Parts: sequence; C-alpha cells; structure tokens
Amino acid sequence: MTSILSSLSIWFAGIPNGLRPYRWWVLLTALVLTIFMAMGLSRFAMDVTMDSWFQEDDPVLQSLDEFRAQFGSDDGLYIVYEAKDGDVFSEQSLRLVDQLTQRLKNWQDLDDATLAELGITAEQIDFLSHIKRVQSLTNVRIQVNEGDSLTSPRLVKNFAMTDAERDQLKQTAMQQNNLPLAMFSNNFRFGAVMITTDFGAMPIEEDLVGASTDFLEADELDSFDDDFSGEMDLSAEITEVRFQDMDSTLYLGFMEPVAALYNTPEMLEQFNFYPIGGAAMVDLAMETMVTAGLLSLGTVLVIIILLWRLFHSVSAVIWPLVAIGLSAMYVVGGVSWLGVATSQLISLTVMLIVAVGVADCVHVMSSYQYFLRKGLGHQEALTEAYGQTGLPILLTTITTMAGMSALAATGMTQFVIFGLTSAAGVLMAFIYTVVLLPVLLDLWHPRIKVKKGETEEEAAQRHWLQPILDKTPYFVQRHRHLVNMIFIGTFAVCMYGATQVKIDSNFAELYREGTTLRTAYQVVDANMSGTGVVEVMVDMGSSDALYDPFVLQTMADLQVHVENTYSRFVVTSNSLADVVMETHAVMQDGSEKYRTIPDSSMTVSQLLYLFNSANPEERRALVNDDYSASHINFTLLNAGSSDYTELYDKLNADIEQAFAPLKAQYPDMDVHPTGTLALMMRLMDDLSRSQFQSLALAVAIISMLMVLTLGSVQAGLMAIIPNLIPATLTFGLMGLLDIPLDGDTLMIAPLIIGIAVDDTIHFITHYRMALAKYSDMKIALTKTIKEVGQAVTFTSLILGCGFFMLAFSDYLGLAKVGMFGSLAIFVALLCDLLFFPALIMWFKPRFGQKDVKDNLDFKGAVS
Amino acid sequence: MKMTVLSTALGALLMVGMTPATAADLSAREVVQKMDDTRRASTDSSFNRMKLTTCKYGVKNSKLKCVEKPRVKLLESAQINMGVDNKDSKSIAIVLQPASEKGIGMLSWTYDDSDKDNETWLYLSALGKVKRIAAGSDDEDSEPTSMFGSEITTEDMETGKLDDYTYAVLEEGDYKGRPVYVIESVATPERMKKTRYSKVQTWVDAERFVALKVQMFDKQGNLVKRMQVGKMEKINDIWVTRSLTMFNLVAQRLTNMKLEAITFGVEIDENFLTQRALTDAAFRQSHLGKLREQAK
Repeated sequence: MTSILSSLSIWFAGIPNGLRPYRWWVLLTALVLTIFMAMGLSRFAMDVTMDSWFQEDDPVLQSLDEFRAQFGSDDGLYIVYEAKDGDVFSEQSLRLVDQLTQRLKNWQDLDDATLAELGITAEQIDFLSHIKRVQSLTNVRIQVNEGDSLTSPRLVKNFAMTDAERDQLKQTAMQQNNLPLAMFSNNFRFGAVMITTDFGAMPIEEDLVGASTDFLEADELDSFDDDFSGEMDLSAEITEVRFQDMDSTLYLGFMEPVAALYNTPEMLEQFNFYPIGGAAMVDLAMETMVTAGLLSLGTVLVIIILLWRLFHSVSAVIWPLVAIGLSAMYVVGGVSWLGVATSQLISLTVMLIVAVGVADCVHVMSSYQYFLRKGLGHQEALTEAYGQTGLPILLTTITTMAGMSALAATGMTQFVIFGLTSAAGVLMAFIYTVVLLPVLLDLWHPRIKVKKGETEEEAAQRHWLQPILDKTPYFVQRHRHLVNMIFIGTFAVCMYGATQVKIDSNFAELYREGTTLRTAYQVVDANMSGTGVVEVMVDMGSSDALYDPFVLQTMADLQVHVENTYSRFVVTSNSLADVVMETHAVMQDGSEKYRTIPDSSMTVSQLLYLFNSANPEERRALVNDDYSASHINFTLLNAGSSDYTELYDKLNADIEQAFAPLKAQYPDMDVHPTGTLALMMRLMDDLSRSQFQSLALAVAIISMLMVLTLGSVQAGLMAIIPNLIPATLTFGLMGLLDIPLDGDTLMIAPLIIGIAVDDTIHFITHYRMALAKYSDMKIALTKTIKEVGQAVTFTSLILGCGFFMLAFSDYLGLAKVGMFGSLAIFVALLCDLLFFPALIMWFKPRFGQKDVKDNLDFKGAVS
Repeated sequence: MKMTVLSTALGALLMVGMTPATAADLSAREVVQKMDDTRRASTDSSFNRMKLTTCKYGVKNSKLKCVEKPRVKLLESAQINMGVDNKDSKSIAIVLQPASEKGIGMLSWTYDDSDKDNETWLYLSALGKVKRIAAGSDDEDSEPTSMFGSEITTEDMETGKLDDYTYAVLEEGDYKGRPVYVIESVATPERMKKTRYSKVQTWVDAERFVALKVQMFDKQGNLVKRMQVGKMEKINDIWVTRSLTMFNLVAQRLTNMKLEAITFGVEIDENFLTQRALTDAAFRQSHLGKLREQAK
C-alpha cells in the first residue's frame, strides 16, 4: 500500500512539469469545452414540482393524480384580512371588501387610469384570467326557506345599517353552517376573500382534441355516428387529459396584480392582510429566496475577502473563483446537454462545488506558498505542493463522490440526479485542480509580499499562523489526556444527543418568528379554519355507491369522530354527506330535524340531482360522475411533520374501522387519506429514510477507504472517530437542544459533513505519507501540523465564515445549515489540530510500518 | 339557484329554419341574427319526449363508444307561449327515467317583462315536496347550471344577447355536404365576466340557419367543449334537429340529446302548467295521456 501511495504522490508531483510543454493546448481545450458547456446553459431546465420527487408509478403520487383528475385542484388563494376597526361587518370594512371583490371578479373593467394608479401593467392584469370565482362577505349567498319558497339572497344587502341591523346580520351569519371560520372569525375581527383558480387543473393543450383549423374538413368527432345508441365498449381507448404542472412563474405572476389590488393606501389603512395558498406561499417564499440569494453573494464575498487576507494575492482569489465558476458551468451545462431537468437541489450542488473547489485550490496554494516561504523557487514549490496535496485531494474527491453517489441508491429521481450531478461537480473541481490550476499558476501565481525595509527571507518567515502551529504539538502533548477526554466525552454525549434528534418539518416554523409567512400562518390558524388540508379519498369501487345512505352516514360519522378526537389539529370538515344533509333540511322547510341523511337511496339521489343541476362544477369537485368516488375534506391547523404523520396513522386506523362494515357490500372500495399534505409527509418520510441510508453508506465507504489508505485497521478506526465527531456534534447538539432536524437541513447535512471530513482526510493522509517518508512519528506529526495545518486552517476559516453568512437567513432551513455547517467545519479543524495528534500520542499507531521512531516528546521542539 | 332549464332545452332542440334564405353577402352579425331568429321561432304548443344519454367516451375502430354504462334520462315536456306577442311562456318537464329520479318535475313561468321575476317550481317526488325557486333579480352571480345533470349547461343553449359578442366570418364553404358559414363570436369584456367561454366558433348552415357544429374555448383559449349536430328532419315545414351531442373534451364525457318525439300545435290545457301537475300524479297522468294521444 505504502508503495502505491508513494508512486501516486510522485505522479502528482510530476504533473506541473509534465503539463508545462502542453500548457497552450490545455488552455485551448479548456476554452473550447467552456464555450461548448456555456452553449448548453440555454437548454437548462428545472422541474420544481413536488411530483418530480417521485417515480411515476409511486402509489402516493398516483393517488394524488387520480384525486386531481377526479375532483380538480383546490389550489386557490385565501386572503385573510384583519379589520383595524375590529369589525369586518362595519360599513367601511364591507365597502372596501366589496371593492376588492368586484375588482378581482371584474378585473376586465379596470380602466387604464386605475391600472396605472395601482401600478399594474396590462401584462400583469391578464394573470387574473386564472380566477374562476371570488367569494367574500359582500357577495356570498345564503339559503333562505320561507313558506314554499327557496331563495338565495346575499348575506349582506346594504353596507350602511343601524347597530341593531348589524347585530342581526352577524347573528344570521353565525347561523350559517359553512360561513363561520371560513369567511369570518368568531370575534368578527378577521374576514376572508376566497379566490378559486384553475391552478393545477389547466389541461395540457396537446392532450385536448385540437380545434379544427381546416374549418371545412370533417374530423373524428365530426364523423361521430348520428345514430348514437349509447353502446358501451369497455375496450375503447380513452385519452386521459393531463393537467399542466404548476410553476412558480405562474404563481408569482398571479400574486403581483392580486397584491397590487389589496395593497392600496385606503385598504392598508383599514386592514392587515394575510394571504394563504399556493400562490401566496411561493410569493412569500420568494422574498426569502431573494434574501438567501443576497446572503449567498455575501458568502462569496467573505470567501473573496478571506482569500485575499490569507494569501495577499489577486491570483489566489481569482483561481479558486474560476474553479467554482468552471466546475459549476460544466456540471450545469452537461446536464442541460443531456436534457436532464434538475430540481432546486441544483443550488446545493453549486454550494458543494463552491466548498470543494475552494478547498482543493486552497490546499494546493497554501502548500505552494508554504514551500515558497521555505525558499523554494516557483517550479519546485509547485512540484512539492502537488506531491503533498495531490493524493489527499484525490482521496477526498473519491470519498465525497462516493458519498454523493450513495444518494443515487435511494432511487428517488431527484436524489439520483442530485447525487450524480454533485459527484460530477466534485470530479470537475478535481480535474480543474490537477490539470488547469498548475497551468494557470504557471501563468500567474501568488508571491510572498515583501514589506518595506524587509528582506525577502524575512518576509518568507513572517506568517501569523505558523508560530501558532509551531506551538501546537507541545501544547497537545502537555494536555493530551485532557484533550482526549474532552473530545471523547463530547463524542459520547453527542452520540446520545444524536439519538434524541427529532426529525420534524413544520412549514411555518421554517421561517423566523415575525416573518410575513409565519405571521400569516399564526393568524389564520388562530382565527380562521386553519392552514392545512387533508383529503380522504372515498372510492367505493361501484357505481352509484354514493347514493347509498349507509355510505354517506359512515362518512358523516367519521367526520364527527375525527373532528372530536383530533380537535388539536382538525378544525372543520366537509363532504358530500354534508351537502346531502343540508339539502335535505332545505327541502324539508329548513327544519333542523331533517339535517340528516335520508333513509332511502332514491331520496338521496333526488337531493343530489338538485345539487347537480344547480352547480355541476361544484358537484364534480365533490363526487365523480358515476357516483362511485368522493372525498372528505378536513381543514387542519399547521403542525410539524411528525405530528401530522401520527395523525395520518391514526386517521388510517379510524378509516379502516369505520368502513369495515361496508366491505362485504363494496369489496373493491379504497378509502385513504391523500392530498398535497399527504404527499409532503411521504416526502419527509422518504427523505429521512434515504438520508439515513446514504449517511450510513457514506460513513461505511469513507471508513473503508481510510482503512485501505492507512494500511491498518487500528489506524483506520482511529481516523474514523475524528471524522465522525463533526457529524455527531451537530446532530447531538440539535438533539440535546431540542432543535428539530427539518427536511431541508437533513438534506444538506451529509453535504456539510462531507466538507468537514475532507480536511480531516487531508490531515490523516498527509501524516501517513510523512510517516512513510521519515519513519519518525515526531517529524511526521510536526510536518503535518505545519504543512497541512495551515491549509486546513485556511479552508476552515474561509468555508466556516462563508457558510456562517447563511445563518442570517429568515429561512431557518438555510440558517440552520449556516450555523451548524460552520460549527461542524470549525469542530473538524479542532479535531485535526488537537484531537488527532492527541490520539496519536495515546496509541502511537505505526500504520503497518516497521522501525518507526515513536518518540513524541515535543518539549522545546520548533521545526 | 336558477332553473330555467326547460325553455333552453327546448330552444336547443327546436333549431328550426322555416325560410330558406340566400346565403350571399350576409355579414357575420346578420348570419347570427338569422340563426337566433329561427332558433327562437315557434316553440309554441309543443309536446315532446327527449332522451339524454351521458357517458365517458373512448375510441374504438375510429368510432366513439361509451366506456362505462351510460346514464340515460327520459323526459317529457310541454310548453305554451302566451302574453303580449306570445313572449311569455309556461312550461313543464317531468322525468320518466331513471327510476330513482322518476317523477321529478320542473315548472317554469317566464315573463318578457324584465320587472317581473321568472318563476320556477321544483318537485322532488321522493320527498313529495314542491319548492318555488326564486331567482334573484341580479344575473351577475348566476353560474351556468347543468341541464338535467348532463354535460350541457344552460349557457351552451342561451339564445339572444347578440350584443354580448363581436362576430367574424372565418370561412365559407361546404362542410359535410352543406353550405356553411363558420362564425367566430368573441365575448365582449362585459360578457367575459359572466361566461365560461372566451370565444365560440359556430358552423351555421347557410340555407337553413341552423348550427351544425360549435366549438367552445375557455379563457386561456383552449378548446374545451364541442357540440355536434346529428340528424335533422323537416317536420311541418320546420327543420328540426333530432339529435345533438355535446363533448366535454376535458372530462372526456359526452351527452347525446335525442328528440324521440315532437309534436307542434298540440292543445295544452293551461291548468296542466300549474303546481298541481307536479304533485298530483293522477292529474298529471291524465293530462299527459291526452297529450300523448294528440302526438300519435
């Protein structure tokens, strides 16, 4: 093993000189490749829909697709407003809400002057064509049963009224089944404008029969048999119409004019607004994204400043940035040329490339500068630097690539793409470092800055870090027991802490307290019917089953049970059973006694006939055309994924129990919770499981490589412990401090740990090589601390400080990554400089070598 | 809840053309006007039986087939026009099939005078209750309702309101052996507020002024529905469509509306067009019996 490693080191050392004669060819090839990859960027495609996370045959996705195909999407906008005068029924509140309702509904009527005043362009206003329906207190209708007449007047007839009339109006509103909590809060301080859209239910144009373009030509439907007999043929082919995926552009485009309509000075004087729904979420998340973008720029700025401060050289700043830029461009260009649509995870790939690219370059340049200070000339220093760092860089590249590729084993489409693109990114950074960087450094390289009145030799000796590193071995020797105890103790405590980590994603709590999105969730949860929805699909597998009073009664009973049992989460429920009961009461003179499911299926059928005639679209959103499938809608308060998962499990059990008596009559029935929330919960589940798997796999691969490289199991194991500390410390702290590990942090965790581990691998490999070279533990450790210690400190400072910028994000998913990521990086540095030497001092491993001097007394030793 | 289903259903089926006209040199608007005139003409004293068949459809051997058991509804209806210029009307429709809806009836009195609200009574036989459905006077919030639970909505069958659209002739020529105008009607901004369709393309028979085919587009400009007219017949010098099919291209469902029997000029007792016909089965049967006799 030792000889292979030595040969590799020699090979790497030969790279700069070997490439020098071909440097123009290298540069030309790089230029051509760069142009080619840059051209690929125009084909870049992203798929940010949640569906993209699942294989197409995934049952959860199929269930949701089936649900959408059957009942359409309920992806609307729910604008909750708080009346500053405390009364949504006050004249001013009603007048303004009516204005908003009318403008949203009749947006075509807004003249150019009004649009200009509102700051809405003609292009923006067109997005409002996605509005299908607008409901508010000022246009909602109520059912009134007087004598033999059934009327549906508006709830609010006039805006100006006496106090007594207003009280009467509120009383009437409270008596309605579907209005309290949906349209206004119990204290009348909050109200809501509900906008139904066609989001998620827009057919894909190519799936529709094209409109006749040749008007006189008869097509398939034209030649439809005139003597239609209603003949049935189950084998006929059905063209299922698919719906367009929603993308953020549509949401954002839609929110612009909507927000402009309610953000007028007059409105804001009277109301506070809290929009909820897909469009609002994307809009608010976008605000955070913009901040995150700025913070990422900040990260790059910190990296630039630190590179400058540490190397005092422009080339030392430029070349790592070129490494990042080219590696990222090659990966993105490559996937674009391959026609692979990536997800938002591509940003994580770029983050990894930043870290790996910077680390690789800093290791080479730090080593190069170290040898310059030692008095070597440019070419010798470069040869030495590649000889020292080439092998560790190769090893870290292999381990990081292996760790990222392990993600592909999860089988989740986006993780496979993410894992493989990240692995490719790491490889690109490696190729850049060993092929392009030596050539570039030949052209332009960092020098030792000579101050006024200083000789070149003095300048070379002057370095703030080296004196600290010089003192480190003796410091560790003196405190080795303490150092080992502290690290091992911390490791043990954190191992325990890591077992206590709660994996939980609470959507609102991913944002800092006081942010718009979190406040909106809090307000809507506290005052209205909640921010989450769970749909229970009721597919009885038999035509007309929903006319069966027993089926409807079972649904109604389940609703009551769920509302009562899980009142901590569930606020309201609604289903076809409610429609039947409501219509039944209405037809029986509004008598509450008849708010029941009728006994006969004929009565049910006729009540539903009435409902269908009155509103076929609403009917189709509630029950399918052959009355075999329907759904129950529960509104929920916002909670964490672990609470939701528990609720889902219990709900499944309740459903099983409630529908069991119907099984004999409907053997093909299938009743289960579904909806976007269910999909998200499933995603969380998959994420946790796959992350655990890939982490375990990555640890196994890294350990194996360590054992192989270091040539002994003892040494390998000894190297793994410092490697594991950054990870266990991060997870352990989260467990001990009761900070939930959310999906986003979980996703980035292996990445950050990978970066932290890289430095440790550099450190250990270098020590191993030095031991082979000098057969003296003292010299090997001293050289390692001085040579690699500098590079490791530099990369840790640069990446640790860079990532810490993200801690300032309003989005805690990112902020936690920043905080714990930089913590892991700095802890890894301490492990390298203190814990690993202390372990060497305890165990004195020989890495399978004979005749090794193990005198580790550093008293008075300075190299 | 507005129940003006019956008159629109009748209007749809009685797309009559009594005066063959020369097709030359008519503007788009004039063509539509003529079609509307003929469509409205004489629904008076008619008695008919119609069958609505609805199902999800698929294609086999280039033929459209139902891929599930079709839902069939059979209705009988009668209408008389009255009032000044015969512009008011009274009509009744009774469901004969399916068994679970048998006896459901709807009685409508419509008035030309816009100050007078139209009146509709609905009878659900299973509950034995009649309800007067009072429509609000403002049309603004009304949403298209389904005709007897089919894919055809009241909006699909509306007559009049010609000023709500702007018209253009897209094409003139022969379509399936008939001379046609292909007219595109684009909703005015005012109309856009109320309609589900941004534009409609109609193939109008240039001699009979009857729609042969209609394409309906949603507000994003996608073709979402299509109506296809089948067999036509000349009864008492009136062109009558015996069969039409509405395709919902998104849900992939169709409704075929077939006129099984139609008789014009029958004598209808005004007393029959009252609430009693809804609730009193014997009374209803006796009157229907008389009408069926006349229709033979």
